[in-house]
Amino acid sequence: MQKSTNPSDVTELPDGTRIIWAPLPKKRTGRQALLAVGETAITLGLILALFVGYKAFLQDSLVADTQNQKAQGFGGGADQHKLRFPSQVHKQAQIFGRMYVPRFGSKWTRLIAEGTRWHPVLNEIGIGHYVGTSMPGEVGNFAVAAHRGGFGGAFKEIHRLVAGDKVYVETRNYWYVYKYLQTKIVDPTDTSVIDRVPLELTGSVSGGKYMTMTSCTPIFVNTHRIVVWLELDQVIKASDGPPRELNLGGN
Amino acid sequence: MTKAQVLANLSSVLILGTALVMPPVVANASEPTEKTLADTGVTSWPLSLIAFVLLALGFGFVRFAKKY
Repeated sequence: MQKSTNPSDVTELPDGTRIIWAPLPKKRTGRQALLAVGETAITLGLILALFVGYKAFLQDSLVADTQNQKAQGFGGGADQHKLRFPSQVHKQAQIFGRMYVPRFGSKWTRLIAEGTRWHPVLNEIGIGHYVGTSMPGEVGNFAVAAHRGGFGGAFKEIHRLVAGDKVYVETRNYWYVYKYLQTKIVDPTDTSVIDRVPLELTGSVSGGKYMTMTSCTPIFVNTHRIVVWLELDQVIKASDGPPRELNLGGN
Repeated sequence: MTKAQVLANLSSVLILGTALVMPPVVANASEPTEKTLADTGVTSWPLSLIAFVLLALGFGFVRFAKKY
């Protein structure tokens, strides 16, 4: 039995030769569409993954180095005038101090500025002072915040602070040495932790000279805040030089 | 509507839905008020999750398309 042929698929030449065109392979549009969608999703996923990796690790590391170098080089020589007296700080981002935390690394240092806005304080400078809380050395609570992850993560290692650790705050006239007291995880709305007398701090008393460090936790999730309380242990005149244990070489 | 189109549409809805439901990657950086402590962290898990979903869907689709 002869197979019927679609006339449109047949070409007849002048000499009578008939050309029967083979049917084109059937287009598998669904398969191709699925492949296209899949490949697009993979591409987008890879781009997103690279972006997240960049923000979380590469940019974080680069910003950390920049903040550290800025802190080490700030306030020396001709720049001394830029380190304001704490009593003269009235505006956001005015830099009035520098912090050293040996537990975070022997070379770790960050500048402290007024306010806790991301830009320009936390993202570029490093550590922000809660507006309205006490200044270093004063009675009350000197409260500061810094990033945990991203933008240099100044307080990335805050969870490692333990009893016996000290935090050094350098201002224009004095060095303030605070000793570790306690760590607590709280809700972001629990602002009582930066009160003049933080009641959640065991043994806190009116008239105490406290320091509170806050940062986000868990890292990169940020649903809570990690709080570290410290107490003023020692005050050293800047003219006497930095505390020996910091090994700053008389800077 | 073919099976492939249905799958493609479903994936689009899933991706779009995930992006809409998840909070923004970088939260608003605002001066802390008396109501909250400073927001001091980049929240990267939503983007990580979206990236994972996209990669899983993508590899799944490619595998399915090559198999059938």
